[in-house]
Amino acid sequence: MNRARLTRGVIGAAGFLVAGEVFIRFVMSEDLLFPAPSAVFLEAVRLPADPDFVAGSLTTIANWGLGLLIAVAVAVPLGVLLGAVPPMERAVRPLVEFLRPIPSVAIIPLAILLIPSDQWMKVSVIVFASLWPILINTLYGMHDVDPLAKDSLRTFGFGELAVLRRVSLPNAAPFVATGVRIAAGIALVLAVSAELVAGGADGLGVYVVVAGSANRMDLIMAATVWAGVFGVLANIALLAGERRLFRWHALRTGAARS
Amino acid sequence: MRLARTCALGLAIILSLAACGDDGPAPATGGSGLEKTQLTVGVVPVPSSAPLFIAEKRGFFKAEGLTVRTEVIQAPQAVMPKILNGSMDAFLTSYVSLLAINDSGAAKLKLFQHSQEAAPGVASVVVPKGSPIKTAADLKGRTVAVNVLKALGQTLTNAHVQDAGLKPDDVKFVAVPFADQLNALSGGQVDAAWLVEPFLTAAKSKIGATELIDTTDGVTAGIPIDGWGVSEAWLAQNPKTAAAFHRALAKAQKVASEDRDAINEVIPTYTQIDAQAAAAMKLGVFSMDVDKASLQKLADLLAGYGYLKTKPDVTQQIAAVGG
Repeated sequence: MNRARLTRGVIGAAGFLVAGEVFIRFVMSEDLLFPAPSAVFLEAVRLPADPDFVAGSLTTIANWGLGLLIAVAVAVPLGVLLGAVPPMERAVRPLVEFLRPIPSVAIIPLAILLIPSDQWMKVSVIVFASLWPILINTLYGMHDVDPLAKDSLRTFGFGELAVLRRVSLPNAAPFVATGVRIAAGIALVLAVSAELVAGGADGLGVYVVVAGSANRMDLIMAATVWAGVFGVLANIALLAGERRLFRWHALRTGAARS
Repeated sequence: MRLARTCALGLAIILSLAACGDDGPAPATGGSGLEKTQLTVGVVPVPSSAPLFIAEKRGFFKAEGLTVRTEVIQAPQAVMPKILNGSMDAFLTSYVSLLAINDSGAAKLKLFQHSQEAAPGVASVVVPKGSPIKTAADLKGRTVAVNVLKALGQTLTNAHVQDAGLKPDDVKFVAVPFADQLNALSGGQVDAAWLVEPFLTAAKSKIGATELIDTTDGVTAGIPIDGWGVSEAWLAQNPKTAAAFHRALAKAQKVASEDRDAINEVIPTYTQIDAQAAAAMKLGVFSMDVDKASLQKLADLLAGYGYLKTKPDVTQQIAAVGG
């Protein structure tokens, strides 16, 4: 990210916050109660000193990361397998297309019933939600392989496994990484949603439930700000990883400046 | 290879973090004869949960050989599966939820220990400042916000508007979460709102709302609000644990019934209500046992408005636990 872009981003965010502050303080009726950005910001800065919030955030982040890793471990091999064996993909695709659009939040009650462990219930919901973007992107990556490259290797006498390892997998890898990045955002949403619905011993969502029962909208918003920060940090980290690992891909497709 | 190593490191960190979060069930110790010693209790972050935290703080559970772990819940309906599959042993429940769940047949629950019954001023219907609605009878054709439809708020409000000469159909109820009701009131989406503490005080002090009906006085005075519930199956499987848990909880209930300071002291530990606000909050009465006649009255009201399919005999819903 270059300097000018960063500056513009900061100006955009700051402008939005100032507009919100002005609107809430001067335009909105005094009888409508909503904390102004400055009040939310102040609470957000104080939150890391609250042990309940810190413990809750760690629990949520642990579930989030664990769920995402399991999703990667399941979806990538599955995507590679389906991509490499077209008949199998044709058999499984309708089921995938049916399951994929189901709102993951809707399966939380089912997960609560089926999985007695509170933590694994939450992780499984996260896995379900993050499975699809990774799987679909892996499939796209497998489809996108240059047939000429595959044929060349075959001409030189390489077997199917070697073609998979030397051409298809490296080609699919950047797509997989994009899928993981998309899934990371969805996974965070589900990590918090599961806590909002099912409650729990601690967690970001649990913190929000407790704050809501005490009419502390400022704390709800402050915790939400942190959820956003976690999401942004994860995205930046994954994006940086992608750039480092797949520099060649960005150069080849000319998408480096996006 | 570098990628693989980074991934492995990430996995290790996350697994260790995850391990920290998972306490896992501890095996029951043999000596005390308890069926299980580690209990998971669902608590709602409201003052009614206070006795459990008093028991924890004063070591009443420890003295019985019990370890109690709490999980925050919004209402028992949302975690019914946990109660059914045994991962939650007991939970705070409103009497309306208890009766409704039993009526629906979703589970067989019993009241394990009473917590709180209403005192005047703990739940009221309020109107925004400058509202033309001055009496309960003025609510005819108006919209009233309640936190959950066909539950306590609607039942109590109905009883009062009937008392004022209206029919229950004369008032329209909409479901709005407590936290959003204040804005719904001042924004004009609803004409009146049924609120409980701490929202009730906030409505009066922050937006100048005025009280129209005290729904925990008059025809519905002393209505029981909530208590601790367990499933019948849990009770049958864990008789000794139930007795021990009940002894500790009843002991704490006694403390709560006699010492308001004990309640004030624990509220800030499990809610976001600070000590000052906790002390200023209007609370109901923490009696040792639920008044069966009042509970029957609540059940009859619910059944009368059609919120329950059958009129229940409330004595059947109360667990007989030998203290």
